[in-house]
Amino acid sequence: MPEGTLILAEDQALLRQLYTATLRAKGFTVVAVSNGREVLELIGRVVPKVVVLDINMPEVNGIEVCRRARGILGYDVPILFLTASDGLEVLQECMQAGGSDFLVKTDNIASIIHRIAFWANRHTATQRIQQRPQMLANLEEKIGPGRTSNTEAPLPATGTEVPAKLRRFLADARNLARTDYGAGLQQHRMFLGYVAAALDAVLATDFVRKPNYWALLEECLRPTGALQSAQFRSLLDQWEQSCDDESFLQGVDAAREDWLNGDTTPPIPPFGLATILSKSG
Amino acid sequence: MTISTDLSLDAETLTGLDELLEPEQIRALVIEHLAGSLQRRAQLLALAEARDIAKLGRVAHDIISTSANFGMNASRDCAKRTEVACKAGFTELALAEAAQLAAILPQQLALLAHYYHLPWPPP
Repeated sequence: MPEGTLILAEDQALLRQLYTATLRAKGFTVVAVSNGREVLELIGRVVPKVVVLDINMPEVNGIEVCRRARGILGYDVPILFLTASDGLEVLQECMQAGGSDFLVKTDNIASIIHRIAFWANRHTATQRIQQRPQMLANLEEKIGPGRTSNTEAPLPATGTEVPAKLRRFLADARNLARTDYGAGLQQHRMFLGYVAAALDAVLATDFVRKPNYWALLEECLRPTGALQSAQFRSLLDQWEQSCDDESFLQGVDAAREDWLNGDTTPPIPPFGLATILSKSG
Repeated sequence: MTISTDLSLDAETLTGLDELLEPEQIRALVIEHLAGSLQRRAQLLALAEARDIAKLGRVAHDIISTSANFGMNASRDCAKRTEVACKAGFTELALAEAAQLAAILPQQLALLAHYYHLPWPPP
């Protein structure tokens, strides 16, 4: 099924071929170019679902392309930077230029493609809210009956089933987050709060296998593509301090509300990462 | 950053590629990667000989992402260290890292060729 058109700018031929082939395998129509000038020419004629830019390119570099492209496309089209430069200064420059996300080429190719696909298929906040009832129903179906209360039967605590369920749950949690993930720092923090509370809710059951919460958290977040975002990683580092942040707590509240879904059982305390980590010892 | 000294290929990356692309597509890309990386290695050695760390840093930068995408994490990490040293103007360190990269790269390329049943060195 066609997933839409992406513009990909990458000056290294091998990488251009690799990304193009993998994105086409995922159903995208890819218009691949080797420099920034060609991108600017294209976006006058093509309205892509996503623009993916290398930074170091001949003629016009990716950051300048992003600045100019924002003047043409506005902010409806995600512009993602895909670069081997992972320094904080580069990240800040990309974000200031209007970049939506920052992908690092040294990450697993599957994760990079997943993340691009996420941006291509994201919905607006309004659309997401409209979809929430069905998504909640799907979530309930996936994680089994009784998960709206922590007094019901616990998740199985052995084998690979729990991590698998957590992965599915958090993939849904991402979609359920009320704000438009990726729209800005506050929204990122709110999303973190959402995921923290959602994860806590799962872990606070009789799930007894808790050898390493941090590793589990990473494992759970990996399929969401969030870990591939340098910005998100930076936020993870700040998670502990964020626990008192207003937008973080809004996310926690949203997750608790979703999780309980009207249940009168007292909500599971919004632990946050500090508590999660304290349990891991 | 965790420095990788293990020369083995990253299985997760290669599995990811195998899941995303047809075998013939991967082989074609790997063949190109093997040849391109050997060319870059030759450039690396020439630039190190000339002590041109500005250009050396750019070649190292290119090696970072291509190595990473084919599971060559030791080469990726060494190229990253080379690039950082070049950017910082630490010539001797950059040259030392470049020398190590030049040594590691063919070993990992050989492993990659073996993994995909391709001849090594390339014809």
